[in-house]
Amino acid sequence: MSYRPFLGLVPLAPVDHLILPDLRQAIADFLFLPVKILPTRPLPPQTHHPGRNQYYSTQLLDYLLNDEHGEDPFRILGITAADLYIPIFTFVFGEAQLDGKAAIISTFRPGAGAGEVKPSRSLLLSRLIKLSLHELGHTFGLPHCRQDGCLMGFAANLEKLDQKKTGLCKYCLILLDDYFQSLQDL
Amino acid sequence: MLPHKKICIMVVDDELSIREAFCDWLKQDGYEVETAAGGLEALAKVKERHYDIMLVDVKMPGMDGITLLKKLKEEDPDSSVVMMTAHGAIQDAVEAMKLGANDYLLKPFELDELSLTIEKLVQIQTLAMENLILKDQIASISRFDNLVGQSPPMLSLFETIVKVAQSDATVLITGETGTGKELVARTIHTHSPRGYNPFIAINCGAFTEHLLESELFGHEKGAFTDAKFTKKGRLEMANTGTLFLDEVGDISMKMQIDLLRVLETHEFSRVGGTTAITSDFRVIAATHQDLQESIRNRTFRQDLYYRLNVIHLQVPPLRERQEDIPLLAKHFLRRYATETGKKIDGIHLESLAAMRRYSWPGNIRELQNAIERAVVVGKGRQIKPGDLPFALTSEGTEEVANLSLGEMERRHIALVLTAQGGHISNTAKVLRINRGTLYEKMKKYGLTP
Ligand SMILES: Nc1ncnc2c1ncn2[C@@H]1O[C@H](COP(=O)(O)OP(=O)(O)O)[C@@H](O)[C@H]1O
Ligand SMILES: [Zn+2]
Ligand SMILES: [Zn+2]
Repeated sequence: MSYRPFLGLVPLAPVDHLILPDLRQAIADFLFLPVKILPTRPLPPQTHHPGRNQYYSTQLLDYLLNDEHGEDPFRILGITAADLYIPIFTFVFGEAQLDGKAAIISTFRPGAGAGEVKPSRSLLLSRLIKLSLHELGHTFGLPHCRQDGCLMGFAANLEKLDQKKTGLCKYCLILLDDYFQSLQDL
Repeated sequence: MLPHKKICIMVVDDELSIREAFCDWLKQDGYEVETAAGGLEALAKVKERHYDIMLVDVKMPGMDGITLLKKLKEEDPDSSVVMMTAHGAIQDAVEAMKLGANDYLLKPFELDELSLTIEKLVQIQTLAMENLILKDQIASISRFDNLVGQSPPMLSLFETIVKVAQSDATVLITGETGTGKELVARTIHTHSPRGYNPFIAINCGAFTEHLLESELFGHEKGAFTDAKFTKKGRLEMANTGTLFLDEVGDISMKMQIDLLRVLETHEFSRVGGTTAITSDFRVIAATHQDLQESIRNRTFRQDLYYRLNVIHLQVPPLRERQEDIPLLAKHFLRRYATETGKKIDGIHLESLAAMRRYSWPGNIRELQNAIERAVVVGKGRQIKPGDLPFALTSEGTEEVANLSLGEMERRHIALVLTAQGGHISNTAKVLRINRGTLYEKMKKYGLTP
């Protein structure tokens, strides 16, 4: 019996259901990996910070990993409409485990939840694709990159996010390729 | 560019969630990260090794951040300290800055505040380091040494050198620090058809990734903020000659990708430039690291390893060729006697015996420093055991068995200081303590460099 690795996309509480299929397709095309949309799971209330009205993304990563699903995705990407934080930062777009299994992104700020100009549908989708691939890149061991426009570049705000290309620079491409090679060697 | 010589950061905060968040975040930025839950733990760790940057929370139970800051500045003045305080507690930040903190952050902060603050500190440290390296290089330019040895491993090394010199193949030289890897590289170069052309050496371990890139490839005017002039890189300078890549095992993964390409094509462009430049150079690389191990740890690329390791030369440590010690000692004696004009023309038999008993962890460089010192302090026509650093001449275990721990420490520090020619940073590195601690101990024991 052969196990076909796939990537699990897990909505945490309802997420704009129109955007999910497009996002799924884009990730699959980029990484050459099958991507499945897994059943929606609730946001655990204990990860909510009432004072900040945000969810603690590191705890959500743990929550994503503790799933009793029969299927065992190769990587899990959580996606939520809630705003995310980690204690030292005012907010984060997403978070990932470096060389680990889980990543998460939020649609809150890309969708202008913090009060910016409402993006068009295609701009929102493009932002979410970049964020997803960036965080997944971390799970494949890629650290932040300083090459101009590279997807693995660190973006602190929407403006910087929009300036990035939906692609990796030559270094990150090679490092990503190395990473997949080393997985095959195992 | 990411920092290459991995910048090491310590996060000191009593809250576990904050330590973990920082740790993950900074690792994604390519830094090495350690954490401590409080002042005492932080201080204990700082005594063990050098941290480039310390992030310290002001409010902690037990030792508070301000007290820790003061102690850190005594313990390791070379490390930069960033204080974190809650919004509204700005007077804490002000006090910290007065006490020598390098910067501060108000919690919680925006994402890029942290990255920018750290980048700024790394840049400042990098510039300071660049100045140090420059001084080191000036000191080493005027030396020309010849390779001395008569032990079987050295004789076979000589043979190989002659053969290798005739070919243009890439050479990888491995061996402990101070065994003569650079000298072997120079000798290959001078005996090769490129011998009259430049020999360009670069210590890859001494630069951050960013600096190494512009050192190797050069840069165009305006390529980055400090690039006021167009600068030729070492690859260009080595045209028609030999490029010596010292400590090649220390190169970052990204630079390894670039380097591999250049070694394959001999074509590259300056940082910030687009014109392709070709350069005809022969490559000799050296490292004290076990590259096979690095490949297993995924810190060195296998493809680059194969590219470099066309011919492999292994330089043995001095303790494995004791028969070379008298010859080398006399060689250095002649040189330093001439340089200082002192009339010392021999080495006492007992001194030679002591030298053969000793293990020479710093290899030939250490021997060279010991002789240089002996020539300076020596009074008679011969180098006597008393002219040599203590540990060299101590009479076996009996005497040592009577010494206190403090006395052993004093002797050991004195020994390493001498072995490193009084160089404080190198001595601290060998002893694996930071410079602050070394100074303190030297003061305590009344030692001078
Ligand atoms: N065989 C040798 N004969 C004479 N001097 C040597 C020999 N080997 C090393 N040295 C000297 O010892 C010092 C350290 O050598 P170096 O080539 O810098 O070592 P490495 O590159 O392995 O750290 C240099 O000053 C060098 O001239
Ligand atoms: Zn990132
Ligand atoms: Zn990149």
